[in-house]
Amino acid sequence: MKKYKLSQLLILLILIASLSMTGCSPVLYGNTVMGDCSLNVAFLNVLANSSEGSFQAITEDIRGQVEIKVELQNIITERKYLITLNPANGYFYTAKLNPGTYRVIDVDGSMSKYTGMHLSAGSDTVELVRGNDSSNLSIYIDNEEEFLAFQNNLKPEMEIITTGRFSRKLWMDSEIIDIQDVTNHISVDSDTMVKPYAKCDIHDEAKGIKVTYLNDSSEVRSWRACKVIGISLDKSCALLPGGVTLGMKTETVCNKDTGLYGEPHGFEGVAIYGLPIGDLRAVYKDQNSGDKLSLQLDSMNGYITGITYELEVYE
Amino acid sequence: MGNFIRVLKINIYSIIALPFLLLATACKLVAKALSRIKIIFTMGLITGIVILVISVMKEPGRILELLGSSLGITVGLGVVLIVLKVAFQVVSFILTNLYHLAVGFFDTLYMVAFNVYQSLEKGCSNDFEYLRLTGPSFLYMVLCSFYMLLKLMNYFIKLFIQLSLVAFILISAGFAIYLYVYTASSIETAFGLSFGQYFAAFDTISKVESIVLYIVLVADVFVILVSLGLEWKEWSNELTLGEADYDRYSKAFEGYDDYMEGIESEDEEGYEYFLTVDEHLGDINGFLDEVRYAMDLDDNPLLENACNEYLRNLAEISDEISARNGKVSSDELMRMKPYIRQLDKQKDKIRRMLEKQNEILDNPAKNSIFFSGCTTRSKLDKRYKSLCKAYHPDAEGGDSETFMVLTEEYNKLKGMMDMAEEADASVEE
Repeated sequence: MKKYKLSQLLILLILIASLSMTGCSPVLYGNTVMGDCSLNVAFLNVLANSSEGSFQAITEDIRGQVEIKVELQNIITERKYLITLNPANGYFYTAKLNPGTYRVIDVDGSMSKYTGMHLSAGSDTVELVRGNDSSNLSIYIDNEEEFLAFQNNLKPEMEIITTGRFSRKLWMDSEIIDIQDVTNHISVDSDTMVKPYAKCDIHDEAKGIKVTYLNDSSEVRSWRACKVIGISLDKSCALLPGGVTLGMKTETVCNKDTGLYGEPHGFEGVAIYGLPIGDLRAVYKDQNSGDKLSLQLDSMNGYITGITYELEVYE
Repeated sequence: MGNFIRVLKINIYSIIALPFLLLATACKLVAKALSRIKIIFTMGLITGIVILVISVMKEPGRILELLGSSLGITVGLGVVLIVLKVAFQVVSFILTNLYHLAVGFFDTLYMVAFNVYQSLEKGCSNDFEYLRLTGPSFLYMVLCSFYMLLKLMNYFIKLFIQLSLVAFILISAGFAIYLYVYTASSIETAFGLSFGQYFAAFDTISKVESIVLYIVLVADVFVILVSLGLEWKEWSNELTLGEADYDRYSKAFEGYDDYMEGIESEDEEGYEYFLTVDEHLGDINGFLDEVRYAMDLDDNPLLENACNEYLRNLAEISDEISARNGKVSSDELMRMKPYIRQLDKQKDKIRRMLEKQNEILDNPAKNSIFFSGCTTRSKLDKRYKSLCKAYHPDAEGGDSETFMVLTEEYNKLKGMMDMAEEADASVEE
């Protein structure tokens, strides 16, 4: 309908060109199947047989969802390449790239909140030369000690596995604790004072646990002296009865027939499952104590992203 | 040897023309899609408002708390609103201009690619017709496989554009069904429950929220895809010369005279623009007759395209004015000015193309190698007979290839002159 002046079109072209040059354009990764040189990218820890420092330390349910993305960049052309290691390819991939020197920009493992592992590449750059044998790039866990400690913390005693889901027990810091005693297991430097009959939330961000306190007295009290009435987990710092923790698949916990907790008593949030639309929570209620256990679900990826346990408060 | 070179030329031209055909199609489809971007924004806004309303309904206490501190909120809100209004106007200005530039860019790219494609295709078409006259059609179809591929692509593109609306309606319906099936299947895997059992386990507000979101999501996809399909379907209609109900527009314009005289003193320039549109509408039938006459004599896709652009522009302006039922304000007329100014330019361009075409048709043999100067049918026939004596294969020094070329040219020019005579005869009647 409109004829546009050449100057206007030139302005648009200049705008697009400058956006591209400033890096605001979307990243388009290069092809990794058609080059002349081979680059073997492997996640070393998955190949180790020993369970010490091995990827196998992660529980199977969570381990099966871990994906590692390795981003490379050709230092001459500045073209980026993305290599994905996952259970389907056994965490081993042979990329076909053109000859040249490639810099490792980023190594990222999914579910890091639930695995505690931090990844690095064996070298910062890789050189590919035509005619040479294939080159290798190894990916490994660079915080093995913390990783092992994290995973060991999630290896519970049998008692927590077999205890009932509303037993108000937790596996934390390598021991079974009562939810009411969780205050001794969080490190928060806060002197919050709670008004009479009021609630407050104390969040240990490093550990990934938020505790809700109730001052059930008629005087102002420090939060440490208040009663624990609920906890929320957003990192894998604890196990619930049955061995339930963050990152576990939804069907492992909530399936009517095979789940650790069985069919939920109800759901909250948006019912459209499988799409990233709104929140979804599976709710379990104990008829005897009135306690409520909510599992925050990532319906698109199918795993648990948050756990909330609320103790029933009697007037 | 000559035919071999023709076959080679056809195939090479076709290989070059194919990407231009695809580029022209892609640019036009993108330009048409961009013109519906307002719908995408509108649907996004509606979706956002629905989500906001649902959030408020779920936690009404929050709103009451906000209203409780009303004084501070009112003052703060007032400042925020002023800032937002200014920011919105700036962003709106930038986005509108970017949008127009983007549409213009793709329209221009389409014209360039389409012209290149047309030129190459015409070259192929002429040579292919010649080959068919001289030898077995099937053999040349096989030898000119790239040209056949080009024609096939052209056919499928037109078919796709014509069926786009139906296809998008089906895709929208398919999306709604797929969404339900996918959700049900995922629920079965995750919870071991049927969809009914799963849905029954939600509280009432969550159920309402989920149903509303599902409807909004499906509506978003449906409206966007169907409007896109309508836009592309409209393009397929433009591919053939269409007619608009200009009588209706002209009648609608009759009532505006009194109204427009009333604002003439306020906006003399606006009134002039209004008269321009009225003039174009008044002249439309005669103008269309001229174009149809020229198109009947010689199929000219560039002329057809230019005419469709003009008709579309005129129809859109007329729709805008007549939709207001006599309440066109000066501001509204001012906004239409660039498009109204475009009408004269478009019509002038079409007139120039018609003049050029008439020039050729008046003397179709002007650029002919063999029949230059033959302005009448009898002169054409006389020249042909003379040339036959010289070039017929049976004649001494005759050449079959040259004879075929001049025969083809004679037939083409004869056809054009016969059609021109028939048209002149019907006009006289």
